[in-house]
Amino acid sequence: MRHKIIEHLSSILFIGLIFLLIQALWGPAKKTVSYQYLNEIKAFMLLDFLDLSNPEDRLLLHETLNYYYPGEHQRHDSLMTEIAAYVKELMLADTGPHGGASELNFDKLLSLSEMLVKFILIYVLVLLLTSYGVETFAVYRFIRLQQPGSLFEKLRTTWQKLNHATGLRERSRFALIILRKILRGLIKGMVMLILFAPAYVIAYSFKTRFDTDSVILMVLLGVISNGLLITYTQKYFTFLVSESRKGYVQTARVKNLKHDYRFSAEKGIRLSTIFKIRKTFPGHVFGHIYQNVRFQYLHTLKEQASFLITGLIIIEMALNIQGHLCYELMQNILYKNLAIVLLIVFGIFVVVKLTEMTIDYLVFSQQQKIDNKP
Amino acid sequence: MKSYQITESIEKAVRDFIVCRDWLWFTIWLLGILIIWIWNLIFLNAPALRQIENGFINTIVIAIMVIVFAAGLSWGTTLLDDFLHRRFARLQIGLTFLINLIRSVPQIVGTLLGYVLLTILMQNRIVTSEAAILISMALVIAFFLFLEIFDLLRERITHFRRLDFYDAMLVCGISEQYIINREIILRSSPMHIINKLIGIFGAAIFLLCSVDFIISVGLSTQISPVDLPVTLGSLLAKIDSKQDILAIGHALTHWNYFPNLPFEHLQGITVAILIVFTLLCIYQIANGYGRRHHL
Repeated sequence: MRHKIIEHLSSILFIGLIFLLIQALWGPAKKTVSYQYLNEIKAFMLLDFLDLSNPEDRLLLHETLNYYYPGEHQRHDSLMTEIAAYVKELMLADTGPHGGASELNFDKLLSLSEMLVKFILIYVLVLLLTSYGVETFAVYRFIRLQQPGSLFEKLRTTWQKLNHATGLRERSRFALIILRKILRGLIKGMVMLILFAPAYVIAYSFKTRFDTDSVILMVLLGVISNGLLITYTQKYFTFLVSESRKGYVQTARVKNLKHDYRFSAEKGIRLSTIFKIRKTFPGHVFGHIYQNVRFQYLHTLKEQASFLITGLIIIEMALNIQGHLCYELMQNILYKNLAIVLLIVFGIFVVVKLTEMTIDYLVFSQQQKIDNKP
Repeated sequence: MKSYQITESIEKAVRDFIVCRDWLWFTIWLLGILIIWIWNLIFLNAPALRQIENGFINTIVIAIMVIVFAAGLSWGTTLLDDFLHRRFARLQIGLTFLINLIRSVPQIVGTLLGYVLLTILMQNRIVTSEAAILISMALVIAFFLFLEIFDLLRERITHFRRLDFYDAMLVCGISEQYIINREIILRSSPMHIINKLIGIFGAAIFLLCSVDFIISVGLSTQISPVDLPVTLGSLLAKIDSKQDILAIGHALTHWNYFPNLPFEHLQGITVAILIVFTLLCIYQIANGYGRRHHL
């Protein structure tokens, strides 16, 4: 464990040093641009029908110049490049305090810290919710799979019953059942589409209905979007399936340990147990499968956490909400504030590393328990 | 072949098609794309359709290149890791340290910083042609995705090293490089690798669309003079598409507006559906492939 902690801490130190080096080499140097055609550019800027900040207007000007002065193409190219650079410089100079042109000072550091804390809180909340969701859905799916009769099988049986049914009332009853099952399948398909939709697609679909600045929406999007829930539910489910094929499960069945998966059966599994935060299945073979898979899944939790952070960053950046860490990162990339960009990226890197350290510790402590070590 | 054998093999193929679902979902994906394209051909204006076609093709081409680069990078890194493991154990610790560093950088942040680098290269006219830009974009994404295959390859090599056949081959005088490349990677792991590559294809589309969307929303084109090739993500960020997506929200509370969506807001809805539908299908294909080969 100590070896792992040293590795994590040294990587934090390593990245910190690299960022410091980058800042020292490229940070303070502000490039001063000298313009060869400054007078001409200023003259063009005075024309009120020409908006040089608009790329289309610049293109029009370029073509016009080439048309009226056909022998000076190279000069026009250079002029257009300088105009683009000049316009960009003007825009950067005009940006306000939220534009990102602000320097890194104590106030900025304080506001960045606040944003980082907010980001971590949202991240932890979403991680807890998704972990619960992944575990619960995977367990539910596994147990449903062990129960007799899949949706297709039930549909086929009902269809056969419908064909053999006599009397209008009986036929309409079976037709209704089939319709209900098809509807359920359609709803499932729609839910799958929503779960797979990237956060920005969902967010923009509901932007007119909800306040996208709210933390609740962020958490909700973090949990349900980007395919996170469904991908990791599938992984957990795969672990459950492969664990259930192991020899000890067969032995336990032969030795008559409870192995009925029906919700209604006396020795079965209660539906409410699946949805509890601490799931226990005393005396049931599934209890052992579940305990082993929980331990195995701890290793995948690192991957899940990393994907979750990616998802949260996408949400914050795509929704363009001021006052959020990743919005600030985006703005500072735009305005080339290297110091702030490096600081934010370093903050996110530390969050990832802290998560990895926590998960490593959890794995270590679980392993100690399994090995009966104090 | 006798007729009953042909019937049996057809039955088996149909059963596999339905039960394993990888080819089924691949067919669904192709059919879905075809239906969307025909619908757009009828109802969407020609310039917008051309943009969607370009965006879709660019996205798929980049994702395919990501697969190729990720496979190459992971193969190279695996060989290097194995070489260091055998010859310079201390240097292998360094390589593992660097790999863990890449692993700890959130993919989106890494890709975004890679794009910043690419933008600088484009501004300095080092990368100019569209093909070179597409390749660079794919390389950036592959750099943050290849570790998944690298982990798989390392696992496979470690697993096979524990088996007797590895030592037996060494005793027979076969070189370790040959055993790893031919026997372990090429002969014993192609199913595992293909399954991972399908997953990476989906992850590449997700990352690419997300980064392009973020860049197009966050970075004003007036300030950033560099134009990246159009992809589904950047198309979705366009004001027309965004308005189309916003219309879905409007339709949720005004049900009578729903029939207008596939006619009046076709561009944005098509792009959104293409992204979501593709991601869903790739997920199902990867699952089906895993089921078919018992991975």
